[in-house]
Amino acid sequence: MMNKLMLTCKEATLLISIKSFRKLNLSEALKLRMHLMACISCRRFNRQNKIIDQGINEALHPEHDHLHRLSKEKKEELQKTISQSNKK
Amino acid sequence: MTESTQYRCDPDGWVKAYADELFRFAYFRVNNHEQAEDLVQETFLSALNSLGKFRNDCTEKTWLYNILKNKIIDFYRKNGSSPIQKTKVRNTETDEDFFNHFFNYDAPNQAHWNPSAAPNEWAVPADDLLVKAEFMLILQTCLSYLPETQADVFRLKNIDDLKTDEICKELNISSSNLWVLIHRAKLQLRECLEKNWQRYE
Repeated sequence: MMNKLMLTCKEATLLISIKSFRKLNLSEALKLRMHLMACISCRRFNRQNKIIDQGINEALHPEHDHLHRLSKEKKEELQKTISQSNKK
Repeated sequence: MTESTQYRCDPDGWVKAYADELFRFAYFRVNNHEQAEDLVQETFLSALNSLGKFRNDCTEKTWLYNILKNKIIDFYRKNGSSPIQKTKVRNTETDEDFFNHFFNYDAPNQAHWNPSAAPNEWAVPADDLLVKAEFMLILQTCLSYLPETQADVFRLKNIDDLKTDEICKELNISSSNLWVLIHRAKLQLRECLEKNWQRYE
């Protein structure tokens, strides 16, 4: 996909998005840097992406697990209720 | 298990299979832990009560979600408030339509930002504590607007601490699928934050 020297904004934002998940290889990193030098919109995207990543890391921190799962007690209680009424 | 039983409901497996998913769905819509728990419980109970009708033709997940959605609508009807206004939801768009919103393809091989979708400078600083609290609230809401698979990616990475290849395995997708999911998620999150937090129109 990215054989040519200059990335499009679509490709650049893809690499910026990937960067949060894995290290870019040398050629990807170089091309992205070149694109960012020339493109103010993608520079903004890049900066804002970092803010979003920090936010996601905080929002989805393992300590906030309770926001994303039912408590164990509640699950056991539900399981019991369901099993009982299901037998009837 | 024989062929004919595979579509039958299995209430004993519901909690394990759907409780967390339904809870998250409810939590991000009512923004209250206990209310969300109650809604999930009511959903399972309603489902049990009407089980007879569905015994032999059960697509559990869709069915449970439909019950929960109705419960949430009832909840808002009773409480008189409505959920935060959504920005346009792009979840069902094909990749082509989705990316056409953000990038224009008029010039061959260009795919630059559409002026209407290009990022604006964010004027509000993110390090102020009060601003931060508002930012986090809006981010949570924007995260909840993502399609479930896209939100799962971030959940698997951050909460379950999975590596990229493990995430692919878990979601049963290729790594290039994963990058497209993340790309779509980030474009959508950024736009949602800019509209709701920075309030550019």
